[in-house]
Amino acid sequence: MNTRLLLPLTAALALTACDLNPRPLLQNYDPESGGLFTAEVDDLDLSDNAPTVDGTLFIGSLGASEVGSGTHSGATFTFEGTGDRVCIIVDPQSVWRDDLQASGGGESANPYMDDYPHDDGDLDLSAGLASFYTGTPGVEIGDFFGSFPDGNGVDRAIDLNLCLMQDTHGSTGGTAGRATPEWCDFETEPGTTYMGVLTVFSVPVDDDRLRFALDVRSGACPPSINECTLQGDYDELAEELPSGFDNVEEQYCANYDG
Amino acid sequence: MTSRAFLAATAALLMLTGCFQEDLPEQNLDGSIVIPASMVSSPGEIGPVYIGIYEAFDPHQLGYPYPATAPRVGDNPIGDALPYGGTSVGDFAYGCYLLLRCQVVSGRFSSLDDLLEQHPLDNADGDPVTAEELFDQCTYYYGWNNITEFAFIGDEQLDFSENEDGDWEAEFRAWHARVPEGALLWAFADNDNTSCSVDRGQINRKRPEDGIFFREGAHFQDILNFPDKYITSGDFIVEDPTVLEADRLDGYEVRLDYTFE
Amino acid sequence: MRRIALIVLMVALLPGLALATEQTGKIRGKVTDASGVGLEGVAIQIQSPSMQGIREVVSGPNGDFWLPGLPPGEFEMQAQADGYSTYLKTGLTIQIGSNLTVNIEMTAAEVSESVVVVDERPVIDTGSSTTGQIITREHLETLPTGRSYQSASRLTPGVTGGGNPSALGGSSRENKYLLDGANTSDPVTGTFSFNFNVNSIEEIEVITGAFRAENGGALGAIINVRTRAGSNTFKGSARAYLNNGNWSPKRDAVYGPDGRTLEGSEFDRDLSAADISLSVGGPILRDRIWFFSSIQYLRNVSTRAGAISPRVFAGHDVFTKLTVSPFRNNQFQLTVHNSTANISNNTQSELMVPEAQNHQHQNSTTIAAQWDWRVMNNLTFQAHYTHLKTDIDVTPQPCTWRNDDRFKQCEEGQEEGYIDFYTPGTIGIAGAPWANNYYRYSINDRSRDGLRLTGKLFLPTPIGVHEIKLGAELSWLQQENLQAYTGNIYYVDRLEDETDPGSGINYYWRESAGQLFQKNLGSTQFAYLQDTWEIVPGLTVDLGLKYDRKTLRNDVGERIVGFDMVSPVGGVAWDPSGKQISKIYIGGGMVIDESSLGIAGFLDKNGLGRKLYLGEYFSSSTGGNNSFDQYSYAAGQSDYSKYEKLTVPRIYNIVAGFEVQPIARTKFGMTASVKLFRNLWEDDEVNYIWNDSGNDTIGVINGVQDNFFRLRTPNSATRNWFGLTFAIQRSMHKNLLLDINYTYSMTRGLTPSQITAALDNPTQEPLEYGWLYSDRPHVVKAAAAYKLPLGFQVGGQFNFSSGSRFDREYSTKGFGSYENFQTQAGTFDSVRPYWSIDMKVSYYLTLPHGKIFASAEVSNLTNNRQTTAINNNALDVGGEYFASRRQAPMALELGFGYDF
Repeated sequence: MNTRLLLPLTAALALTACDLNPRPLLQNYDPESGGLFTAEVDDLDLSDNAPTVDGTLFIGSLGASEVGSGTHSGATFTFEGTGDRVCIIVDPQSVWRDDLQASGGGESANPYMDDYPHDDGDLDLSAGLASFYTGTPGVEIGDFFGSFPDGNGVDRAIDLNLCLMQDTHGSTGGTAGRATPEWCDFETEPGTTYMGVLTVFSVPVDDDRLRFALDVRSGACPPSINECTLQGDYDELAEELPSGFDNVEEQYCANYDG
Repeated sequence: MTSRAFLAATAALLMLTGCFQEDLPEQNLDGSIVIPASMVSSPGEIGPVYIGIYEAFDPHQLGYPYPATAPRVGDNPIGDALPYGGTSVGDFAYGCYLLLRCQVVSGRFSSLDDLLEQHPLDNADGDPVTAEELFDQCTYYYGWNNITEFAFIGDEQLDFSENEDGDWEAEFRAWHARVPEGALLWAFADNDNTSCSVDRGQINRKRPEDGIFFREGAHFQDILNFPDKYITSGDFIVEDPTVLEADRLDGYEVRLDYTFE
Repeated sequence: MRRIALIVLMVALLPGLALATEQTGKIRGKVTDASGVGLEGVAIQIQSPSMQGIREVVSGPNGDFWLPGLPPGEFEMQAQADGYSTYLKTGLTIQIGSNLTVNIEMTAAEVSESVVVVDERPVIDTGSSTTGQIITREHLETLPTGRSYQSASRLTPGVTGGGNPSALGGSSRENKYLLDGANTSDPVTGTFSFNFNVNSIEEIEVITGAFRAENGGALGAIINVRTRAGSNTFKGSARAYLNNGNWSPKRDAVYGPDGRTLEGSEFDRDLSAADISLSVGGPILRDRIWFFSSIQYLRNVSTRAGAISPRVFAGHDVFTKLTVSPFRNNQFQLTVHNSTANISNNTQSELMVPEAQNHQHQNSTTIAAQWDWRVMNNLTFQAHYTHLKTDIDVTPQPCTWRNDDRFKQCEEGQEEGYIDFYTPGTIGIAGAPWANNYYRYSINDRSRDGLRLTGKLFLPTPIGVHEIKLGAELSWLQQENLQAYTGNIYYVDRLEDETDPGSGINYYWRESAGQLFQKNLGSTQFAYLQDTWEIVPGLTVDLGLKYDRKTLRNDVGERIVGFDMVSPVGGVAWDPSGKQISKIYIGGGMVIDESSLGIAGFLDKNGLGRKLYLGEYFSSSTGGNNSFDQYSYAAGQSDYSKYEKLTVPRIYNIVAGFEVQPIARTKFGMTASVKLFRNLWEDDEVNYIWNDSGNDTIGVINGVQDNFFRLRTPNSATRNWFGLTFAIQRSMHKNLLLDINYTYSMTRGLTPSQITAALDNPTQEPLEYGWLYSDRPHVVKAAAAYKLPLGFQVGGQFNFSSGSRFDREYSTKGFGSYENFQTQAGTFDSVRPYWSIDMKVSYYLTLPHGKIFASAEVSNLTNNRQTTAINNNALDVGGEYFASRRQAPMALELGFGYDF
């Protein structure tokens, strides 16, 4: 009787167990604790070299957005309008090692990056009037959404519409993809405070840190902006570089013909 | 519980479950556009009319009737007018010929002849395109079989009609708009079709001549946000915006009696 | 003992199938003496090969007795009392939901005299107003039903669709699936969770209208599968079914759905299938412990026309059921089911190269435990616990060293089965001639745990007999959806110069937004009270009230859907003939939507919004500022906001009709049904301002070009369904089984193809109704089986649908630019009439210890089916259409086996 009972049950249960666990591949998974990092939001104005118009290049890093809550990591910064155009450029970390290796006579050119976990991340840039963003009670930086009541008592969404990029259909509201710089320029009023917002869309999965370079400069943006326009966003932690490569970005950009 | 009481309770519950009030903050707002007869001789001359519901009015900012705007940001000379909602009377239709792109406004023509009268064009031989040729072109192009499939042509499609005063009047409905008391209905007619973008609209891959892909043209997407971009000489504008009243959702009249020079 | 054998036909028996979402049937009746006076204290015994032991009840004060919880099978009933002849009735047939009335007239006689009554199998349940059908093993064995419970359920009037049926205007996501009483509807989508070995099925009950309070939760049908069980004798079966595309003529699609001629497509070179199953059932301990186990292996290979890689479905299905009666009046039942499959090269597209293929592993397990306790002669109690878990893992296709270049090949250093999560690929669009897709993986785990308690009371009163049922169910739903890495759904190629097929050098990268972890939770609680009241013999009133409470949470724990609702149902059935061969009935009420986690998932904070990146991201030589090309489409996060004013999607349903049984085992019926779907889930876009045609936007409310959605259940989100059905049903009798029905229906309203009707439709007038759907099809389904001499059986099925469907599709001028088809706002998509014939021939050779079985089933023996939706099934390449799916091909399946 026992055998008769056990056989079918065992057969049934033995086949129920195949399931993948993808959590180790989630970008903000901590293999030590098995937990997930929480989002972080930085106020860059509080840092030592806060971004200013025509100030020094700002190099920083941000963590992953929060799994489970939808809260994005990101950063805000403010600057005063100049009465002229102001250009904001942000370049998330990326190192084109394959191309560098190829151009250095190594492996044949590979259109794909095979150092994917180290070198990739996406940071989205938006900007608006600072008063719209910070002057509204009840708005918490972090979810990057907020609203205010207008003259008729209707709630209006807070509008960060100064840095609108076009998408392929000619509509505004586009953002660039992984590792790709984002930039925009717009007219500013003197004395008016503007706010830039960087929202983390994805981070490299090796260390869950996205390094970035940020520059705020007066005047229109240059006609060509690429990976080498702002330097310093290379991943310091990208260990195991092939011999002969110390600062991959520097060497890469030395040969960059853009 | 007796069976009678049970039945009564059941009936009551059935009735209760049928009631559901959504209480949406957005409402449909109905009204009519009036263009004085003195301004146009036929509706074919009227471009698409854009009607917006705005927070307030600011006649001084641009020197012509215009809604109040948010602070200026970016490249536009003035800020976003931030409409609560709105709609259009007429929209851009592709006239089956590239030369008619951004030229044909729906609801303006009762027949293909009417359309060609307003927008004459020549065929490859240099002769004027006839209504039959236009019909053939559209049937080839869209796979339409019947004139009823030409959604932008036809007596039933006409937007404007003459009212008692002899003015041109068209009805509109602004779908799902916020309609707070004190807000304004303001509109303009884009008579030269500058609000049409040739970089938008359906990509067409069947152009018979050379197979080139092109877009059919469509509205810009920020017309009600930045009307100043599209108001050009000869466009009609509302000079006295209509103020929305509490708890009233229909019967609003909007007069386009100002011509932008 | 002396016996008097009396053969009595049609004596005092009220029959049939009372569709009741139960796994068992019941018998009730009254014991009287010759003068009609009720006899108390008469012992009534019933037994069956399908039931453990002998059940005994004693008649009550007026002679009433009640025997609920009888498993499907043939029963024999015996009544004994001092001073009366022993009453013996044989041939009583119980199906799931059966509600037999057997009135026993005791004859005063000498001791040990017997009256034997042979039951004539009834076909009309004169006590029920519920509509639907029971599909028995007879149907499954003799008719070409496709050997799946989903396709077999299409025999039911008003049920349409392919492998995922839709019922009476409901969508395929609005059905409720039960396996031995366990709710196995998918917790996320609301469709079925698994396929099931049809050889393990005893009966399928499909309930389509005038639900009782205990049903509910489904706007479509309730599809209730009763599995086979063991018995006191060992029985087993070994079956193999094989199918190969080369065994039948090859036919291609000829017509597109709009009637235009399609070019011929490549024949499906790989079509083949194998289905091998073994089942055995029997006693572990006679009359105490029975088991039934089955195992099935399935392999199905097919390649859609134009696709490079064969789709290989390989899976198995394991099922075990234990029925235990440890002591008197108690029974336990344990059901364990697992269905596992691996699907290689799952994306069938001519744009997909092998190295870009994806693979799906799916696994579904159901464990159900049930305890039945007959507390008293007129009171029973049941506790039922269900655990359902389904995993769906989608990964890139594992590589192989096998020399088959239609599968993804391993590269040096990679082991067989290596899954490359890193290398991106491309997929061709805009006519790009090569393709190479890259699929990141998603791991989706879903579960449902449910506890249900049910009590039933049999209450004879001076004014009729009540059967009162009181039940409550608690269930918990969970979904965990994990996608590796942020984004990276796939990469695509497009032509740099859209006029030059050789210019496909750019890469698109479409990325799913934000964090890719979702966890949705939900709970449902319901309780119901239901009274089936036979006021006088032949007149039954059914009244019920159901209370539902539902909570569904998004991935951050916000309560997205929450409601309490009381829904009433009722019905009246009357037998005007008084001879149990006719019925006039009306029934209906309100039924609410089960609302699966997919609704809450719609408002997840994560995984929303998408990006499409352009430009040569992976190359450094972008050649200057191509910034516009690097910018994305549909960028950023959309704000999916919650709207507090939600109500419950529901139907108001009325059915009315009649049934007559003019000849033995054959009934004719007519049903008129009305189903009004109200307050369906709707997705409302609130930021864009639309032009008067509703096909383009002319402004935004919040200043940014972005979508802001909210979930609604608006008054306008409706669908109306009206249907008229004529049906002839005959269970196998004198070698003939018939199942013929004709349904004329009218549907208008929100298209039923979305997740719950209308989700994902912007709600801007004049497109307020989202995707309009309108249909007035004439549908004929005629199935018949005939038993020939020498062990042969022949079965056939004819299907006809007049088509005429049209959808009003929605698209904007600004989008859809790279769609395969130009879709104008208000495009009509009509379907031509189609018909098909399927045939099945079976043969049984009876041997001393069993039967050898052989069958040949030809589906689409002849047909005119065409692709049914142009957007999905045909491609426009260079302005010419060709079918990407074949016209339903003739397929021959051979089966053989041995039953003992």
